[in-house]
Amino acid sequence: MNFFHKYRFPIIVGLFVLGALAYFSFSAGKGVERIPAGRYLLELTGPVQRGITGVGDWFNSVWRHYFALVQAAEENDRLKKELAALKQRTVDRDELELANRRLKKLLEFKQNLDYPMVAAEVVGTDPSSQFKTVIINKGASHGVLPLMPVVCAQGAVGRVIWSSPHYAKLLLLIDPNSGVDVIVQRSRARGVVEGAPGGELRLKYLIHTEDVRLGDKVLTSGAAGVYPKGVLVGTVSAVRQGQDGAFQRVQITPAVDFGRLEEVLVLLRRRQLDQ
Amino acid sequence: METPTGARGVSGGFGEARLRREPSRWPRALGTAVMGLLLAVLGTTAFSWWALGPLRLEPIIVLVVSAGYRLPLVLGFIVVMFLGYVADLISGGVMGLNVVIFTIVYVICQLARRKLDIASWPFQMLSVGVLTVLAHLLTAGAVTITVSSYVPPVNLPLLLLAQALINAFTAPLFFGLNEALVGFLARFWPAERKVAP
Repeated sequence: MNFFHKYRFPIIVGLFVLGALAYFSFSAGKGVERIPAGRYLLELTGPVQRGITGVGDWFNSVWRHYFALVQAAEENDRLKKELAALKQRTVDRDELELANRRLKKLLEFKQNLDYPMVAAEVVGTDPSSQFKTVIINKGASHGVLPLMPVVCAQGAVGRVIWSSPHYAKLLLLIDPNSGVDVIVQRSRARGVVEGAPGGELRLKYLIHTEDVRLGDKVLTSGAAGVYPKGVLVGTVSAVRQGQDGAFQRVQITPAVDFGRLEEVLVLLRRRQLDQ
Repeated sequence: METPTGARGVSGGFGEARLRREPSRWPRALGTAVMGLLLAVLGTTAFSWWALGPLRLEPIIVLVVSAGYRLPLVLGFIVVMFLGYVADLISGGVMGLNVVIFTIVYVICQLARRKLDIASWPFQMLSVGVLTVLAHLLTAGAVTITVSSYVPPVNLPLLLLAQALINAFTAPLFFGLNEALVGFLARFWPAERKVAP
């Protein structure tokens, strides 16, 4: 008893630090999709995120389309109101048209891929600078499960790493933890694409003898089982011969603009890993 | 050690009596956890709209520092691990990383509170700034170890410095918000109401 009182602080600190490390090692070993608690926490935070995103979009819209208009105009109140209303309708129509175009592209893309899929909206982005994840508004109740690939009209987006009943977290291609088996479209050279600093991608394990040039398109190979074959990943933007080994250093500009990711498609196919 | 009143305030001293009564541990723990959840949600939405490239507001570290200086050891550990869990849920693909990092930051604060207190805002800023650098270095280190292909960005020191400054300058605001929520909860806490004048 005296011993515990004397060494209370180091004992408690030691226990909790070991507990945290054990949890980290347990989670890393098992994979994030197997940590069951928390998905309900995501269910709790998801609607709030969605609400805040909605409010933010509304304020953004008001700021861009309404206040700017009101400040610019020096007409009488009636004309201003009419003008604002007309402009707002035009903007709404433009927005609808743009959304229509995006969805049409998405639909064409969907028709090209012969897989069941579900469309989702991005409701939250990763708050840290070192990781690249987003949260979407579709989850397990829509069939969205961990390891499912996610695409959009421009190309591959990432994969699902976590899902609660109505929300899911995606690991984007540009995250350093991400990895996709790919082929260079022109030469059929094969490698693995990973996230690199600055929102770029890096093509790895491409030996010196392989033919790769600036502007080459890089597609998923379908070999690793997560993505279907032939989804566009990006375009080669730099090629350097590595000084430290047999591989070339190839930088890829992603096909998807991850800063403007709004709608995505989750392919309802799942690689069968050892459970 | 279990109560924050024994610590030496940087702006005050040993002899300075606290004029305002500290809220008890439970409202503080609950308030910190609720504030953590709220700031985590804002971190994925509103705060990300104001991000400057890779730099953004990181208010949860402020709560960890606050818990380290103001909460009793065991209860603080539980709150901080919850904050780490929430941070892991919404950020990154390595589950458990923030739990470990927040725990380490919390232990440092628990050690520091023996000699110091964060009653003054310059010290709040200093604590948060220094511990932000530590937390980011630990994150970069852990990712380097767990992801063999990860190469930290070349401008990492500059990014760390900028992020530490952002966190430090916004620290008093989030400390204040947390204290306001804790104070609000304390008003409705049964034990607090019993002893209130």
